[in-house]
Amino acid sequence: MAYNLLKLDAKPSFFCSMIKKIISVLFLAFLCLQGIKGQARYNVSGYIKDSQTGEVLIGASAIVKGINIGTATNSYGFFTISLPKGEHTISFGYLGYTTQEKTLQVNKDVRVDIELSPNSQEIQEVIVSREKGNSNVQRAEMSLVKLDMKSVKQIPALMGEVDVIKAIQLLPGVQSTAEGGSGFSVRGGASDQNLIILDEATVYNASHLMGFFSVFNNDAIKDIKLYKGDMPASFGGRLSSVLDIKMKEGNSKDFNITGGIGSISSRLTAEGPIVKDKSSFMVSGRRTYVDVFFPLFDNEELKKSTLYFYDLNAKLNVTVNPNNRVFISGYFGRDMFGRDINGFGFGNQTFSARWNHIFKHNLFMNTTLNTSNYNYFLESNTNDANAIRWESNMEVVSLKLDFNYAIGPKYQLKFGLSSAYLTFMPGLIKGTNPQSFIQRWEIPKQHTLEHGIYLSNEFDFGRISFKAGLRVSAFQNIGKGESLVISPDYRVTDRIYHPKGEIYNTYISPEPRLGIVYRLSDSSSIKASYSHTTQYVQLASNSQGGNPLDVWFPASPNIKPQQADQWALGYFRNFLNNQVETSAEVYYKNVKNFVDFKDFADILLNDELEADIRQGKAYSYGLELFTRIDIGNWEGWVSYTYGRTLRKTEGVNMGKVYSATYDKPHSATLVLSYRINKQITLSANWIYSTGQTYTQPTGRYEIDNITIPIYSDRNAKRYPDYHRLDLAVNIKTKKSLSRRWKSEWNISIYNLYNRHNAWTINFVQDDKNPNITYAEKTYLFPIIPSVTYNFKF
Amino acid sequence: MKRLFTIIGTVCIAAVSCTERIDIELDTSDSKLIVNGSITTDTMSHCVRLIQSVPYYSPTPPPPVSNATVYIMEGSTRIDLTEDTNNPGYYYTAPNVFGKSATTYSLYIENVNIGGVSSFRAQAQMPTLLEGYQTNYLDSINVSYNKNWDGWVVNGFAKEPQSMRNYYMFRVRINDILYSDSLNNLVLIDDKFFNGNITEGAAFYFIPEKDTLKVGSKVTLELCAITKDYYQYLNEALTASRPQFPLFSPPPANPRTNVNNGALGYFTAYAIIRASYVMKDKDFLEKP
Repeated sequence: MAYNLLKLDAKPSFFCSMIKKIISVLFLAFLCLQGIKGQARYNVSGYIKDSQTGEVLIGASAIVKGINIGTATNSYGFFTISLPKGEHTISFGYLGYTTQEKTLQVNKDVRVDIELSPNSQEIQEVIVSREKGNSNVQRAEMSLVKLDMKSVKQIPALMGEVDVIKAIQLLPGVQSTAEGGSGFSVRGGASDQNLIILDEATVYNASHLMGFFSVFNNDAIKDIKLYKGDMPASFGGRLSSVLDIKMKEGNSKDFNITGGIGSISSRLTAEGPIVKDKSSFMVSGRRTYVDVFFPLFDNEELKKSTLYFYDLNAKLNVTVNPNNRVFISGYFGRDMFGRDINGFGFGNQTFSARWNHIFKHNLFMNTTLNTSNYNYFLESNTNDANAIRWESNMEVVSLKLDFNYAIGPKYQLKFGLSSAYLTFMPGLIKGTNPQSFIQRWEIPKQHTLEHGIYLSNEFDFGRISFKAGLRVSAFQNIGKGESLVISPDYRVTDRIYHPKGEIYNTYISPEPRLGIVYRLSDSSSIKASYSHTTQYVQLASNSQGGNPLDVWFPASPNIKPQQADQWALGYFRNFLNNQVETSAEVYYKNVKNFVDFKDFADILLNDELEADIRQGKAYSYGLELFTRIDIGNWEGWVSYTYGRTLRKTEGVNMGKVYSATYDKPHSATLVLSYRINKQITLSANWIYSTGQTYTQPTGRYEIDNITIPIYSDRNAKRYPDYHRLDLAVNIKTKKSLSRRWKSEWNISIYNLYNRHNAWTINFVQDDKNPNITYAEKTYLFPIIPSVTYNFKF
Repeated sequence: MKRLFTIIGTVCIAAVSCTERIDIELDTSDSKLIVNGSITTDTMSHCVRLIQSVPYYSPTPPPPVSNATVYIMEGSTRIDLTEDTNNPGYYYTAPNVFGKSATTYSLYIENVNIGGVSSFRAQAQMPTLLEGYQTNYLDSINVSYNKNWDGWVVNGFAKEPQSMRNYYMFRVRINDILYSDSLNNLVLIDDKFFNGNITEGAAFYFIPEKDTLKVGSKVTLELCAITKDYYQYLNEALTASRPQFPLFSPPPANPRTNVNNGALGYFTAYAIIRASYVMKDKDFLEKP
């Protein structure tokens, strides 16, 4: 199935009529489905929340006993279920929470808000068996992994800094793009093909400190979902994955403070009700303090340097009345580096304002307004002609409407639309002193619009369920701006100026998404999915790990949107009353117009960047085996992935197929934790993967006293295999200073058996005899122990 | 600025990384002819050096290519080069040769046998030079000690010509001896950031060795006007020679060449403009 992209030459009227058609089709679908209702049915709906914090639970289940129908709460903790008139018993459950049953007389639409208690042994005198759902088997969705923060916090972490992105790098089909980095590849996709959203605002650079840490402060985070394929129609704009991260709303019952003191950073979070059960807030901050110790190092460079990062997350939520909730949240983070008079800083800011409205018991609406910004600067504050400042910035403002419509017990309709306005300022250099030899130089700003409209429906026919969705995305380059005229031999021959408001290029792409599940039994199923995705903005980065100076750039008359088709097929089977979940998935992904760069492409401050881009093909395929357990005191997963990632671009590697650096055919992970007793939990992870690819030098020569290697085919060789074992122990202190005070120690050891995994391999000349050349491996992390103290009161 | 970023990155990595020597087997590519030659606006003997590449781990330096027939065509004029008997592989023109603005030079290398190929050709074009370019590009220089950078800075006073996009290579001679003796200490810059600007003492060149200069030392800045293609070649050769780091390095590749038939290297034509400065007592006041 190949969906060709429509490229339109600035004809907004055609575009408008297209949108109108799509809207009318959506409404038709609506009316048809309304007709299905027929007999007397009523809706039971409501929020499912945590009884201790008042936080809504995402993906909690509501199952009607006896008639075997059920549903799950949406991203805002809301559920709707349509039932025939009569008495029904509904069982509400969520992983790690005590299941609650409620018997309801359904003779009109019923609103029921549920509060579930966490299944913690400390609170419950009687141990309640954990109810685990089989929704992983039953639902028509695949290639999806959910992680809860409790499990993530148990994973041994580098320098004790628990990190969401490091945790998802342990999942099957996910590879880190460079050791210790925050970049990740999902099923062979590039790291800029992941849509990373924090409370629905896109995060454009998720890394701190050259990628060693991510921007997500785990104390502020509530829920993580990673879609590796089978992307819901409500998401678009990236080819490979969606990493959907939700911030905590803040405890609406009780005020408390959580914090942690770690080896390199400290965290503090305050949350509590403003009006009990009606409104709450959460504020969380984190800052590193390695630079405080720089003067102690015996390194002159370090002594003169400053280096730190910080994050600030804040969220406010107000329940106006049972049908209206408002959320306002924001993130602000920054990395700062300084050396003498030189400075460098980068960071993200996101803001989201959301309004959840329940129209009827079965129609839920979410409206989101969000902004996101990523910027950096470098400056040299000399008092002479060399004083300059370099800035780059990108900004997005977007508006999104999402509706969930439970039409019947077996029909769930989701639809919505979104529009975003993006501004790119790739680079500006300005003199900061009247004598500066550079006064002002700028790559022209670019502006684009990105729209999406979608409709998706889940049909349940007993053993078979279908999920069918269509997203139509549109992209427009809009003035004020400049477009380049590029000759077939990639020379810029002209620049065309576009005045403010002129739409000078439009792309429209239909993106079908299909999923099917065939339930073999209550505990096993076969699933298949197909998704077509389009990506209009990408990162100009040709280094393996990426760095904070990489800039995003949009599609244009010269750069076609990247398009991917992904097919997946899987078998899902649960054992031991759903305590063991297993799955096997195969996938094939084909990317058209993959954005590649010519050799020695000039990525930074290049006002002719588009001339350095080559578009080619990328494809990846693989098998993922995954077993997740939650039995008694054992929790974790084991996974194996076979995956290949290949590319072919005219003008790169002489047009021959080459492997991506993160093409690591075999990889395996083991992530396990064992609760020894109420106080102590032991956890370990072991990671193995085939070594990354590299380009080998096969000859050498000299030009003006320097040695230049002759390189063979790109990425034709591999580093030695990568493997590593990490351990951690979590110790909860026994009785506390006061009844409220709870604390725990986390002691972790990264790379326990001190394997020197190659971060990079260089071929270098001997200092004394330049004719002696040898291979030199650089490794980043030897065995690293660390201690973190966490508290809550 | 890019350098500053690399320094910051390197500081971070240096704080945590370690290196060790490892054994890795490498394949061997066929030996290739490597050309490194130029013709400049100076009236002098211009040099073309020919060597042959060796396998990466070879314990011997790349050998010279001797006894080749080497000549340069300027239009229909043939300029012959003769091999220096004391320095095999170095071929020189007669001392009265000089390059002219916007002129095309074709280099011919014949009577060699490298991988079964016996003749090679390269073509270079001298950039278009404005009337009076010898004095218009660069007014003067001075040299000062920069405490922030811990070294000597050659400051240029110049009026950059606005008419076109220019590419420059800066070299320095100290007491007429070439200090910029390798690709690593050339300064390469294009004028996109300061096209047409008047430069009042911007840093054109940096000399990190604190004790290289004495009172009375003569520092000469050579501003070379080069073509875009040669500018790109030099940058690519530099990138190719540098170590690979996942954060910054582009995928390794072979630098461009303007020599045909599978040879590597470059034959170039460029203009040299000079300004000199003699170190004075007062220049040493800032130096620690």
